[in-house]
Amino acid sequence: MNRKAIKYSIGILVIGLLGYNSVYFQPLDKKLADGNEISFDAKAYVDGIWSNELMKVYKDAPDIALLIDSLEQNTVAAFETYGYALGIGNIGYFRVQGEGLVTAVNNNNVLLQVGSHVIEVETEFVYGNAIRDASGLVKLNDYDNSSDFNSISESINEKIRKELIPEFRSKVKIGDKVRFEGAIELNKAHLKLSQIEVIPITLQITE
Amino acid sequence: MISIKKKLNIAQFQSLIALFILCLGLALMTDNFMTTDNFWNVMRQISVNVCISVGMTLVILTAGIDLSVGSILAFCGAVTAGLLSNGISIPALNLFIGFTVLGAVLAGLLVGGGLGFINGYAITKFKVPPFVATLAMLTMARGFTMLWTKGHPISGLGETFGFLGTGWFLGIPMPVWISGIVVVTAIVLTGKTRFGRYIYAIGGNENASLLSGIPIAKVKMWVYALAGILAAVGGILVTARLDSAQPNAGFSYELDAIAAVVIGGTSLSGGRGTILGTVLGAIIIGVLNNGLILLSVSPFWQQVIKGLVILLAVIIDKSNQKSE
Repeated sequence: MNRKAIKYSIGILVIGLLGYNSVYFQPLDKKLADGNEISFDAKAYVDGIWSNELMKVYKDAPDIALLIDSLEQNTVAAFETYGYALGIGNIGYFRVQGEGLVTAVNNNNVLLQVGSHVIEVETEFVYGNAIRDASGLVKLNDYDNSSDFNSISESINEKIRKELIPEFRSKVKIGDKVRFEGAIELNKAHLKLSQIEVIPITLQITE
Repeated sequence: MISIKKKLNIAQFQSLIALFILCLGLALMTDNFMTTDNFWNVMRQISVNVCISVGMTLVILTAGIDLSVGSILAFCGAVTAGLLSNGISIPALNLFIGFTVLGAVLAGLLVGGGLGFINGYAITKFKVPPFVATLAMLTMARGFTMLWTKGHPISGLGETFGFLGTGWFLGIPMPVWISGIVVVTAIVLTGKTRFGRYIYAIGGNENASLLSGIPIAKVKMWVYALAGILAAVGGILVTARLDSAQPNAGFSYELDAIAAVVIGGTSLSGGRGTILGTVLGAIIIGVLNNGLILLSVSPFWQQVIKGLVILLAVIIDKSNQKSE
């Protein structure tokens, strides 16, 4: 056997050994039946909790004007009382509800005058984890991996973008009175209350 | 002193003196700098930059540049984490492909090498300037990372994988072992092999290299592929250390790598420089970062100071070239 043949044989052997120890194969249905992480259907999960759990906790959300007052008076206490946080840090998520007068209908949002406060209801960039995390219903530790956990937010946001926003956008106009429930994200260290951005979960034109 | 000076080139010697003065100053000005914990902390932190900088040195030695290493680092870290965490499902074939730690790491390295190879191919075959080709890859790889991760971190990767970033072996952190292996391999590659001599020759005078029969395109493609693989190593270390692949990982890491290479005395016009010099450069940047944090210097000023150090290094390098 010449040197080249030996070289190639060793190369193939090494690649074979690495390959053997690198991947494993399983029938997909068996994997799904095992209840492994890939079987997690975030859309079905979100559909399941939407009416009976998610909507319920948002119905009990504090009034946004009261929350802003609490935050202005004692930020730390307001974060502890009303906020939800995933871990250590300054970011907190809050459930809110309220009613306001539409003062502007922009491409990306609708501005509401709620008492003396201007609230920005997001209608274009509905992303992030605000709705999921402010609900307090879904905990990271309940999931095998962060991918499943993140997919819950994706499904919630997609549902809002597809089922809630288009109908609202088609009807809303300046001067309307709008009732909303939703979530906000605030940073304890850099609290900005001048124009709060709300990710809505319900929007209703009342007048 | 003279024998040390003989062994090291002028730039490395200057880097060594700069490092010594920096360490001495920080030891006098802070209480925590000269502690074992801080030493290993600095070493762990610079491990990632060392890996990327070694790849960048190879590229710069050929008179090129690679701006995509930070993005490749992020993508490869994400690919490794994603495969390890979720595997690949192929519903059409009713097949699930799971990845072991070895498999996920190899896949990450392969992706890094592949993206680096694309850089090299664009530069050599289509004559795209390295700056432009790697700038395009910087954007593409960042986009791939966002697509792969959907903008979310991938975490919960297990203890075995985490050991690569947080474990200790024989009293030394694993990232230091890994970057050490990278450095030794690169020193041998550049100093003891034909491939290494080709790299220096191409950077020194590409036309002369072409006339000498050096396969320039092949060497350059391999160099960029190696830079991609080493960026992937960095990505795997970052991911293992954080137990999470962050979509925005590696942001502006290419600048730290270029800084380490320049401070280490490698000429940006190619053909001159050493791996050892780059390691010194990376250590200087790491110590400087650590020192500025220990001295509670504002992050804004930290950037200004780092920029000034890089500028100073280039000015000194230019004056060295003139005197030579």
